[in-house]
Amino acid sequence: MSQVSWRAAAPVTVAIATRNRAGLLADALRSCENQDVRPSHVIVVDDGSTDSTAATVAQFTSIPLNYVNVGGIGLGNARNLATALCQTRYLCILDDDDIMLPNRIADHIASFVGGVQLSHGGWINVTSHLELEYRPGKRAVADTVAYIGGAIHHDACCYDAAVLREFPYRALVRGGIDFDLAVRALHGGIKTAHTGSYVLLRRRQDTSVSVQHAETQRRMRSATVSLLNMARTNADVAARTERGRNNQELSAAACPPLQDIYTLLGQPSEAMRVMGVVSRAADQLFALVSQLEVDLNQIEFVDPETSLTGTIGLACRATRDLATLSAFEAELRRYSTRMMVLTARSMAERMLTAEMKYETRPGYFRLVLRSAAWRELQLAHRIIRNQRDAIWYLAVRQESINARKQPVYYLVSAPFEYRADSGKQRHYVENWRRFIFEQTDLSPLVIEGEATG
Amino acid sequence: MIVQAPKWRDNATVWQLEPEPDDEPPPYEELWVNWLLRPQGTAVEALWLALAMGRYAHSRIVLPAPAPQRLRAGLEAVLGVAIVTAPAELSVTPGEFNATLIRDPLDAMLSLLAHTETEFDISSGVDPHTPGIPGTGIGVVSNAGPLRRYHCPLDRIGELATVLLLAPALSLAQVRAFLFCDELGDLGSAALSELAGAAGIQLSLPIDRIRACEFGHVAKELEIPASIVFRAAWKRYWMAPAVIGAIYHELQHDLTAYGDDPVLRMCRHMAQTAPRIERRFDKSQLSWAIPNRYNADENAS
Repeated sequence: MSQVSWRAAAPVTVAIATRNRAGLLADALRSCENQDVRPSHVIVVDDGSTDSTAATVAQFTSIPLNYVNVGGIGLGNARNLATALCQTRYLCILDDDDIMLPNRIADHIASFVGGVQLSHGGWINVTSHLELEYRPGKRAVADTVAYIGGAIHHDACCYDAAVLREFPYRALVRGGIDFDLAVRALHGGIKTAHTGSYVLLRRRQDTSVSVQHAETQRRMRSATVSLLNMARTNADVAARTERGRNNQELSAAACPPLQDIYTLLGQPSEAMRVMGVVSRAADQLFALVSQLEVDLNQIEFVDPETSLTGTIGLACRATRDLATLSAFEAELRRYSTRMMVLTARSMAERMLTAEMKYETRPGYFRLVLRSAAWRELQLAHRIIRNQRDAIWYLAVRQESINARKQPVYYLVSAPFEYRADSGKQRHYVENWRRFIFEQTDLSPLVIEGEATG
Repeated sequence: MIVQAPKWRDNATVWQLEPEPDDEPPPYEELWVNWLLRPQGTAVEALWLALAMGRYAHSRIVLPAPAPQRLRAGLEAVLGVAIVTAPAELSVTPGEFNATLIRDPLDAMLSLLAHTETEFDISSGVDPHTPGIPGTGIGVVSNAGPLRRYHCPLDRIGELATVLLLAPALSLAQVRAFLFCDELGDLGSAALSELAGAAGIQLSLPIDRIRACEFGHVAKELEIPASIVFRAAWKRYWMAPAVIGAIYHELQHDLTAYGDDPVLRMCRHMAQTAPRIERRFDKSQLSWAIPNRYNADENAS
């Protein structure tokens, strides 16, 4: 990381409330030091630590750091105190167990234009096994934040300090205060902007506040939304929920290479796999696969969902080679908004072993092709779609073949409606079946009527 | 800065803001106030809009509401920008009732000490989750306050102007507000009273010569318990360490019994680290609250 002179410091204060996490806090402070554009100040409010927090903070002498210790005052009070002491225009909230990516401050500053008061970026959840889950976020629309979620994460936000002075944290609540603040501020109509990048590594561990106080957070979120709904009709709430749902995750957020991320986190101790969540619609999925500039022998499909109209995981094989993982991640991120880096064990846990279910309404039928090789289905799909128009989905299950568990792939059609003339029904189905067999040598299974599996 | 005519949306009256090229982009795209304020075309609407948007306009504010010549001239003098609006005659129908701006329990307490009740106590703020102080009867929520405070953290003109905006609907003749002088932004009480007068409302600002940092002195003189005052002062001025520090210095001897209170510890930290404000308190400014006592003091001296 390049050392930047004080002249390059941005008008940003990073506020960290901490309590007995000296080791993790050091990583957080190091990430403040290593910013491409440094913050003007860092304020650490010690919420009553009894460990070596003070000594840890004292080691960081290369940034103007204000360490405040007034004993235990609670997270909300600690954050409000940092806001009060902030002397710059902008304030970044940073949890003591999280790490800012080096681009964070620079990207926030670049997005504060035209009266924007909240700059937010994508965040990457990190598990104790150093697995990663990329969350690019959505446009920070009040209805999405209140009713749907996934739009912003407080730790990936930088506020105009005026907003935090206007909407202080609720001091006494132990969970959900970030959600509460965001809803109130967005309801007020502040302008927001996404940085277009990932800005944060967010640890998700057993000791995380969001894990320890998950139930309080859930209740606080519920209370906050209830307060809003008291002034709204059911129809209004339904309309807002729908509007919020239509706000999709942002795509192609800029991100440092995996090697850089693991330089900050430490190297993973086991082989990892990169997985992207993509549409399972065969037209889109196979087109994507053919565009990928990777060795197709190295990719696999991972199916975590039972719904055929949902999404499917596209993953590389497990490797310890970060360069390989990084290249695959960069390539796949062009097509997927939900990226993950997982251990092989975790990936296997996500694979569905349940029997395939084909929900089909009465009066309809589906065609199902099955193969142990997804490329055989890719070829079949290409041949079929060139001659007959239909929608197909790919699904995967772990099944036993010759006493060995392995992935088995299914190409499942969208439901075909039987012809109105009942005399022609059987002919219609058989016509389809024969057509597929003649074209591909695969024998399709016909799933009839209201049946499930 | 061009302000469009108001619309009714999401249970609020909303004015769309259109900054012109040299204007400072405001942090909100709209100015809004909850409730349906039916198109009024009155001077108070022009006053409200101009006060909320004045700091963002470079050379002019185009308002949808007409304003009398006296108000327009007053706004131009105070804000330093041209006010573009249709001319109007001030309504000759005088208001009948009086209202007090109640932002928090401290305002409510000062209002009680004033011994002059008003027909309407009106709470005013921006947070949709705290629409009113219990018992005040009327709570109005708008983002005029944050628009003003974006430049000056202690400014409370937005809240006051929002109460003025209700004047035609409530037939208000006088509005009273317990705002300290540094809560009047850069306007000053004389100019503000003149503007309100030009919009047909008498403005009463009983503590407009006292600064927020003298709150501790005020509390002592009015014998408001320190244990209540420091918490209330924190809620109101937590974002201003120098103000909190000054209040703490004044009250600290009465707060020794509350030493381990988290809020008190934060106040103490601010008192120790924030720049010290030296100010000589003029207690005669409280004659509105306890006139006999101060009149007696003056006679004795």
